[in-house]
Amino acid sequence: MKCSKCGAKAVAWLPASNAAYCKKHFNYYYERKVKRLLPKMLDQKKDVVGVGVSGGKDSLVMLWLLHKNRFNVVPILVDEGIKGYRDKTIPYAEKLCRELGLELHKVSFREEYGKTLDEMVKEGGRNACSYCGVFRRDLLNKTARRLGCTKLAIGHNLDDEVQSVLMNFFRGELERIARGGPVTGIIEDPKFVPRVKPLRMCSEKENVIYALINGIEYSDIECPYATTAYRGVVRDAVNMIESRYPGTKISILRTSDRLVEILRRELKPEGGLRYCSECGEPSAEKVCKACQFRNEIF
Amino acid sequence: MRVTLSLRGEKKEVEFSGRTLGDLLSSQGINPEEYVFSRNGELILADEPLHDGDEIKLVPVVSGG
Ligand SMILES: [Zn+2]
Ligand SMILES: [Zn+2]
Repeated sequence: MKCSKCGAKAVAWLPASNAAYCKKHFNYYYERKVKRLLPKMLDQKKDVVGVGVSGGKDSLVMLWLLHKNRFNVVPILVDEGIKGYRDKTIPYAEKLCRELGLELHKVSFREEYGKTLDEMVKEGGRNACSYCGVFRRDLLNKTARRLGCTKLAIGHNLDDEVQSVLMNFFRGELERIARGGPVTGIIEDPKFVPRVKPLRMCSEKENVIYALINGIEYSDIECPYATTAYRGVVRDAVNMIESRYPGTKISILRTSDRLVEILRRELKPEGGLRYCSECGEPSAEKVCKACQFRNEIF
Repeated sequence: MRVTLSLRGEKKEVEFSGRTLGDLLSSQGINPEEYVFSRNGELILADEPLHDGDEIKLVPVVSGG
């Protein structure tokens, strides 16, 4: 197959754009897509951007692109304590940070909460993804704030975003949909660092291709706790529809973004964001989820 | 044709009848959506002609972010 732009040998075929691209034109296509989105999320001059990195493809591609576009980035790595997994992915994050001349800020569940995720799962009654989601969120926010970040960039890709939107839709979780969109968090609050997702328009596959073309080395091992079975079912269904009707994923995301605006007007939270009565962190409830979980385990 | 498939460091030799990467994938029941494919470090697409002895690397699309 030949590049639709220049006729050179193509390395990527993108059914949703009905185009094939060579390395150079894939980079051009991909970077332009991200660059168009960035000004809506980040201010290049003012923002100090905390970047959540894991060592996987999405977060490292995101860090690389933000650095390449001269954003003031602060890489943050949360070590949940997943033996045989996180210890294997961390070196990739360290390597890229070294290459880019950036200091990697490492924090861990063990140091912050006294237990690794492995221990929490063994001792608590909940599944790994519940603990991980809540504590990662809490720790990333605290760390970004401590390091003076004005935004926090998360490496969610198009597939992640579409799966989340649909899962929330299927379950009737409108409040969760309202919390989505390009910049998350319904309310401005000095204790909450707003989250942005620079790769939300880029599919998982595009991120892999970009990483390979540009020599960004990443870990491709899967988390032993994997993703929930339900997310897997939604992913397969979306991929099946996308393969027959290319462009469906982007369309779902655009529809959802419009819905987010409408929902945010309708679902104005009463009394605004409050603070957890135990730890003082921003919380939708009286006691935040992190403290609720902590009280269960400890 | 005989080629070697490599996935996360594990290798497997397979024999298939056909000419292209696409033929190989359908003969092995490999879903092209789930991987990106490379040969000698270069990305290849389904219409790529393969040769005896080629080593094809499967790079999984679904993995931790
Ligand atoms: Zn080209
Ligand atoms: Zn709390």
